[in-house]
Parts: sequence; structure tokens; C-alpha cells
Amino acid sequence: MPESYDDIEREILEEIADDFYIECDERLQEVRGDLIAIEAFVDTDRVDKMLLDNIYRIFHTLKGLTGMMNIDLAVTLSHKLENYLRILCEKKARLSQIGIDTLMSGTQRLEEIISAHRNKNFLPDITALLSSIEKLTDKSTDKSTDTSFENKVDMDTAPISILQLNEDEAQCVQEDLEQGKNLYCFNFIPSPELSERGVNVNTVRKKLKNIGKIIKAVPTTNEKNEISFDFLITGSIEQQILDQWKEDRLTLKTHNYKDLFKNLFKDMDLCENDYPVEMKHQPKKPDLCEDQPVIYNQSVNQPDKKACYQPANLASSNFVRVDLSRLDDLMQMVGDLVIDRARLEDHLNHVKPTVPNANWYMLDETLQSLEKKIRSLREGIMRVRMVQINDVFERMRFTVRDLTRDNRKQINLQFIGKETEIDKLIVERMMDPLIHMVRNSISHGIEFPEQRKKLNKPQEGLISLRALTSGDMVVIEIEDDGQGLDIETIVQKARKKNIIDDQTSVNLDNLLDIICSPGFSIKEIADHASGRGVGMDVVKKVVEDLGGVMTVATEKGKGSLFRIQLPLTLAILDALIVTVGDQRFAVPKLAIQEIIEVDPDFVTESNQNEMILYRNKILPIIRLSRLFHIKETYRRAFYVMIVQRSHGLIGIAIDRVINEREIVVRALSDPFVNLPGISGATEIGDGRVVLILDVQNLSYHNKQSNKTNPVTIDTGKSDSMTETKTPQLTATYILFELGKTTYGVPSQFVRQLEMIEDITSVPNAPDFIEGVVFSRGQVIPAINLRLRFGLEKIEHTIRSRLLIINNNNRTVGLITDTAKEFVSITLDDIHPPPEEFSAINDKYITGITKLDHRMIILIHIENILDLADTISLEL
Amino acid sequence: MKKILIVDDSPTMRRMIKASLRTLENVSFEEAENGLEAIERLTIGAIDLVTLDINMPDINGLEVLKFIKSHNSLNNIPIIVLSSRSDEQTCDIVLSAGVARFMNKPFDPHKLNVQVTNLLDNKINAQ
Repeated sequence: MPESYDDIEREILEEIADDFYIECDERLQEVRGDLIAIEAFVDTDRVDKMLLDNIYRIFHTLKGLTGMMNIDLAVTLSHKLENYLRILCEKKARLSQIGIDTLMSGTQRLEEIISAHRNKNFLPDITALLSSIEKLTDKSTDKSTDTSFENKVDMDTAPISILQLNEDEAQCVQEDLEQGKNLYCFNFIPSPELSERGVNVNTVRKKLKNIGKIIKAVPTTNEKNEISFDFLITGSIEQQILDQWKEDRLTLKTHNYKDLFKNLFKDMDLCENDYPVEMKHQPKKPDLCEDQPVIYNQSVNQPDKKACYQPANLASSNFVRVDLSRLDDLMQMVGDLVIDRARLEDHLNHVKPTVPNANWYMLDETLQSLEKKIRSLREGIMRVRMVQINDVFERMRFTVRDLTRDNRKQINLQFIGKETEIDKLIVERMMDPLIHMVRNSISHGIEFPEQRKKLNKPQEGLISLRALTSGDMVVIEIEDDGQGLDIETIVQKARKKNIIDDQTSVNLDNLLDIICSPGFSIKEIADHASGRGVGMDVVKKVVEDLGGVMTVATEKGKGSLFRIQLPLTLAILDALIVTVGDQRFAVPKLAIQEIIEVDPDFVTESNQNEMILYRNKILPIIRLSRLFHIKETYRRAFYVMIVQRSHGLIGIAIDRVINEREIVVRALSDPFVNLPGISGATEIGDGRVVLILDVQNLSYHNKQSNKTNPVTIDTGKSDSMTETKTPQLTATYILFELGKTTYGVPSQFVRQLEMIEDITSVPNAPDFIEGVVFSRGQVIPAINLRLRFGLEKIEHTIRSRLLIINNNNRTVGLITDTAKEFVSITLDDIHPPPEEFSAINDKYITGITKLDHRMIILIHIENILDLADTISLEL
Repeated sequence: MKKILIVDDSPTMRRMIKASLRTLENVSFEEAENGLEAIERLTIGAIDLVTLDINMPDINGLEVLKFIKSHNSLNNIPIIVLSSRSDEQTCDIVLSAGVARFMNKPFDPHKLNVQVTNLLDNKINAQ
């Protein structure tokens, strides 16, 4: 039966949903930028027409897009905004401060509506906003309802030529000529050959945009009936480049335009040459605007300063949109490649003695080449995920503007290194934290202008955002020249809230820890600026989750500097493999500052705390063997890894370092192994899991791990299979044995059966968790059900099986004596567990049934998986 | 193989148009995101049908239309104008240029599909 047209339409809408949200995001970002740029022209007649035009068109486009997706509220709002913009474009109203504010609110609301639609939340109420926009549009001087203000196109006349400038275009040219720029007319003739070489009208447009501003661009036909394009540009360019461009059929038109332009710009004193058209007495050329800080303040209107802002370029069709998840898949594949290569290397090393030298040499060479290529591939894919941190920085402008609106502070926001590229995931995670920190700087750091004046500081507070990469790290700094962190107040606060006791002294070392404690906030009532759900504790967590480090430096009266160091590679790290007793761990190289050898004689112990002298400072030492209860092998000397923490250096004692290796980080997302000090797991080639140390969070005194416990599994639909009131009559179960009892699990939850191999034990885990195993690219915990059900532990035999069950993204392996049967059980035959059963067992049993004279006990999947939650709370 | 040129500055819209025409057999798509690029593609050749948006940067769709119609080599390619401007003036201007069809945005995918199919078939018959 053919699909109805409605179905087809729904399908199509679903398919383009992703594109829709991405495009809305980009357009809204562009509007934000443009609005900030025109704000400088409030209450003047000199608003940049091109920007206004652009904003108008974007709202028009958004109206169309949201209309397609049937988001009526967004359509209404965009329509109203578009109307107001039209009036501004037609110069029937002047841009006022209220106008800009309303437009910015409108943009904000539009974003919220689209976001609400996406997350299926309630739509915001915009009645007030809509009436504000109406008020503005009603104020227009001309009430005519002329709807097409764009050049009325008369189809009967010849197509427009480059010389037919309209009022706005002429004005633009005039202003630019007055600023000392030249006027050029270029012509480009496209062809299939050029196109194959990558030279087309789009690339030409980009080239021209780089040297100046495109006033007008039109298609035209020449005498030979060839189609070509004319561009009118204001800017300046050297002869050399002009010569280069001729090769790509991009040439200067040298007709007698001068006369024509003389008529257009009668009052201007133009040179006698044919091209370029320029002023006789060139006024001083303006400074390049590229990295100049844009200053925001409400009180002083600066109509003479033109905001030097380059609006974001719309994605050109030379780009491809890629779903981030596809890139993740690619990264995963590369990760597997890395592991396999390491495995290959291990195996080869094993057979090295048996291989003749000549062959070995070739094998080795091929292996090296493979490693290089995999590395390149990995870098290549990572580069695809890279975006400029400028995306984040641009959002800042908006935030700053928002904040300075409400208070009278004057802020000078400076960006350094905005082209620094970082992984898109980092950008997304760090967006809110960075915005929060800038807000803090503005709210608590920068003083009011009067105060600053008294302190002989420039009236504008300076906030610098810097980003730079160094090696495989990216460093982001936020610095302000405000009053610095008030340590006294912080200490008082912290003591009052019992974050620290009266004895502890606060210095730069633990300052950050205190500020980032949950529940600590600098102002009693979070003001509208800072109260948004992101606190410094969340910032710290995000940084640490990304494997990074944050430090702070502050000086009273001078300012503060927050520095965040993040590893560029998320999924693949360079790590050191270290041993402690008979256990191996992986430690990310980034985290280690230095490794030193220590003689036990030089270790001082006091009250169970160990320390050594390192570079004339006291370095506390944490012994992994003690932390993880690993039996120590006696060693004379041992090694200590020096690690930088937010409050200073710390030493982590290990036995020795085995080697250095690239590791692929696999997240340990299961609560069973959600233990402080372990940040993930990896596999290093011999099939066994090696845990990755989270050196930032190793401590003898562990508060509950910061990682949030996952929400308990929704016991909704998956229980239906085992309830006796389901419509289905029978279900398939897989049977396994523990001792003399047979148990069953619904086969829908069983992913596979495996032999029991290579269980890596996890330190400090409950006894019934034997450890973790690697299965199908995933690290999962292995539960010894015998222990949980009160039976004694036995050795694994050849018949032992690991039953891997899986539900709602939770996967767990159950160690069983044997498992091999598939049976069909009639649901009506399932009885609830009898009263006499002890409470413990009751929870894990969902029912009992009889099958061929056998009693089969049916396992409650959810509660087995839920075991974790109750247990880790007891830790 | 018939080539359809989709001209629209919104990637989402271009995708939507492609998706609506997915069921057509023996068709391939080219995309242009502004009027200049559209004309360039048409010049390079072999386009059998154009869907054209009006609201585009630099040079709006109406000017593009005017240019296409004024050029001998280009003016017999069927054009479907898709526009969210539903005012009479625009409508008149467009139709006076002799485009094949004018459709409003948001458009009904099925209708677009039918129109394109018809136009392409007519072209075959006319040859």
C-alpha cells in the first residue's frame, strides 16, 4: 500500500531536521554578529545598509525554514521581525536603542522557540515581545504597504548592468572613496576548464572579498555572446595580483567608467585615470580593523566609529556537512586500528627470534610505515572535527553586550588566537563554562568606571580571552584587570559554609578548589547574570572530564587570570604504562610533569602521610599500592610521577614504567566501576583491559566520586516480558546454572555467551564484581552471581560461561557455571517467588517456573543491573 | 539522465527539494547557492530544469530570472520559481517572465514532484 503524501512529507521533514537545526544555528549566529555591528549606529542615519539587508534576509529565510517545519510561533515572530527590518531598510524609521534591544530579544526568543521545539519543551510566551515589535513598526513615518522594497524588477527591460547603481550602492561607493579606497570593476568569464581547476564564480567572489568590499555583482553578456560576471569593488590591490588574476580570466574592465561615475559622484574630486577610480587627494587610509577590540558601553554613543566587524560567511558549497556521530564512528575505527597495530607489533616481537634478519627488517619497516599512516589518518580525522575557537569567542560578544546593558560597566573584550582550532566536542562542552567565567569577570572582577578612575585604571575594564595550542594541548586563558579575587571574603565564606575549617590557610594553591566547591557562590543571591545553572564547580568538572587542568592566578587590585589546559585528542592519548605490584595502569602523558626515582630512605612519614623533598618543596606522595590495596612487591627504589593539580604538585608512587604507548580511551560508563581515581579503560594489545588512572582525583581521602550516578533504569516496557499479564503467550529464555540451581534470563536481553577469559580485577570493587572484561569493543563488568547469591566461589571450568546481558545501554556479564539452553516458557506458568525466599534473593528473582520437572528461577534483569547503584552508595 | 539545478541559499531547503524529488528516475542534481553560481552552472551547460529561489544575497532571483530569459542559449530551460513572497507584484513579475511554474514556500513536496515530472516529460515530448 503506497504511503500517503502526509507520510512522505513527514519522512522528509524528519530527514532534514538535522540540517534545519544546524542552519538555524548558523543564521542566528550571523544575525547576532550583525546586530552587534549595527548597534554602534543607533540613532544615526549611517547604519550600514548591507548589514541591515543581510539581517532582513536572514529573518526572511528563518521564516521560510520554520514554516517548513511547522513551527508557527517562530513563523509569526520572524515575520514581525522581518517587517521591522524592512521598514529600517526602506529608511522609513530610524534605528533606535529600543529597536536594537527588541531585535536582540527577538533573536534570543527565536532561538528559544526553535530549541523548545527541538527538545519538545513548552514554547516561551512572546506576546509582550510581539507587541513591542508592533509598536516599533507602527512608528514608521510612511504607512504605505509597499511590500517589495527590493529593486522593482521590470522584466521587459534589459538586465541590470554594473553601472546602474541604486541610491544605497552609490552612497556606499562614495563613503569608501572618501576613506581612501579605490573603485574597481572586474570581469570574470567562467568556463568548464576553469571550473575543473577549481576556479568558479564563488572562488572569484571570495578572492575579491579578501581585497575589498563587493558593492555589486551582475551577470552580463559580451559581444561574443559569452556570459560573464561584472563585479564592482571598493578596496585596494597591487598590480602583481591583478596580473596573476588575468590568468584565471579575472580582468579589470577598462572602459570609460570614469565619466559615468563622475556623474554619479559629481561633488567628488576624482582622478583622471580610467581605472581604478580614485580620489585626487587620497585621504589618510584608515587603520586595518581586523583584531581591534570592540568596545561596549551604554552611556557613550560613538557615532563616528564604524564597528569593524566581519559578518560570518555563509558556508560555501565547497563544504560538506558531516554528522558528528559519523566522525565518532571513524574515530572509533581508527582507535581499533591503533589497537590492532599494537597487537601486531607485540606478536611480531614474539616471533622475532625465529625470523631471519632480512625478513625482520622488512617486517619492521612495514610496521613503522603502518604506524605513520595510522597516525596521519587519525590526525586527518581529528582535523575534520576541528573548529575555530572563534565560535565560542563570538558568543562572548553577545554575552558581554547583554551584561553591560544591565550595569554601567564598560568592558573592552579582546580575543587573541581566535583561529586556534580545537575539537568540536571541546568547543561544545566549554561553551557554557567559558561564558560563565566571562560573566564572573564582569560581575565580580571589573569595577565600575568611577572606581576604576579613582584607581588610575582605564575606564574600560579589559577582559582578554586567549587561546593557543602547544603540542597536543590547547590552552585557554581568561584574564581581567579588575579587582582580583577577594581572598579574605572567600575564606570567610568558605569557613562559614564549612568548606574548609578554621585551621586551613587559604593560598593560591587551594583557592581554586574552594571556589569550585559545589554550593560556593560569591554573591549571596545569584544575580540574573551569573545564575544560570553553571557554577564554578561545573566548570571544574567539565574541564576535568575533558582530561584538562585549571589554574588561577590573582592579585588584589590588579586582576585575575584563569588558565585552562585541555588535551586536544580526546579519544586517543599518549600514555605511559606503569606497574604497581602485578597490576598495570595507563597514565595520560599530558598529566605527568616528571618522573623521578626515589630511594625509600628519603621518604618521610608522618601520621600515615608520606612525603619527600622535591626541588626544595614538600611533595606529598600517594602510593597506588596502598590506595588500591595491591600487594606490593618489595623494591629498593621506586618511582614517583609528579603531577600538577589545581592546588599544587603531588607525587604518585608506582613500581616502574614499562613503556610509552598510544592508547585508545574507552569510557567506563558503568556504575560498577565508577570509582574515584579511574577515568576509563583501554586495551593494549594482549586482550586484557588496562585501567586508566585519573591522576587528578587520586586521593586517600575520597569524597564520593564527582561522577554522577546514572539514573536507575526505567523499568517500563522491558518488564512486560516477564509479567504474567502480557498479551504474549510464550517467551524464549536462556538457562544457566549456578550450583544445583537452574536460572533463566529472557533471551531478548542476552547479547551473547562467551568463555570466561581474562578478567581484570578492579580495585576497591565489591567482592561479587570479579572485574571487567573486554567484549565487542566495550568494557563491561563481570558479576560473580555465586557470590551474590551466597554460594561459595569456585574456579572457572571449561564449561563456565560469561552471560552478557544488555538492556537500555547497560551491559553486564554474569559468570555462570554453565549456560547453553534455549527454552520456550509459557508465561502463564510463571509464578511469583514464594514468601519463604529470603529478602536478598527476592529482589533478583522475578518468578519461578517448572519445565519438564525442573524448577527454573527467572532472573529480574533490571535489579541485577541495578545492583550497582545500591552498592556504590555504600562505598 | 536529466540534470536538475537547485538554486537556493539555504542548504536545508536544497535538501528538502532534493528529498521531494527523490522518487524521480534517471535524474541527477546540481546545487547553486546564489544567483551568480546558478548562471555559471547554466552556462557550463546541460541543465534540464531549474528550481529557483527569489530571496538570495548579492543578486536576487528576479534579476537572475531576467538575465536567463534575456539570453538565447538559456531561455528555453523550464524554471520553477519557489518563493515565500506571495504578494501579487512578485507573482506578476515572475509570470511575465514566462517561467514554467511558480510555487509558494512552504511547498507541498508531492506537488513539486508532480510539476517537475510533468515538465521533464514535456521536454522529452517536445524534442
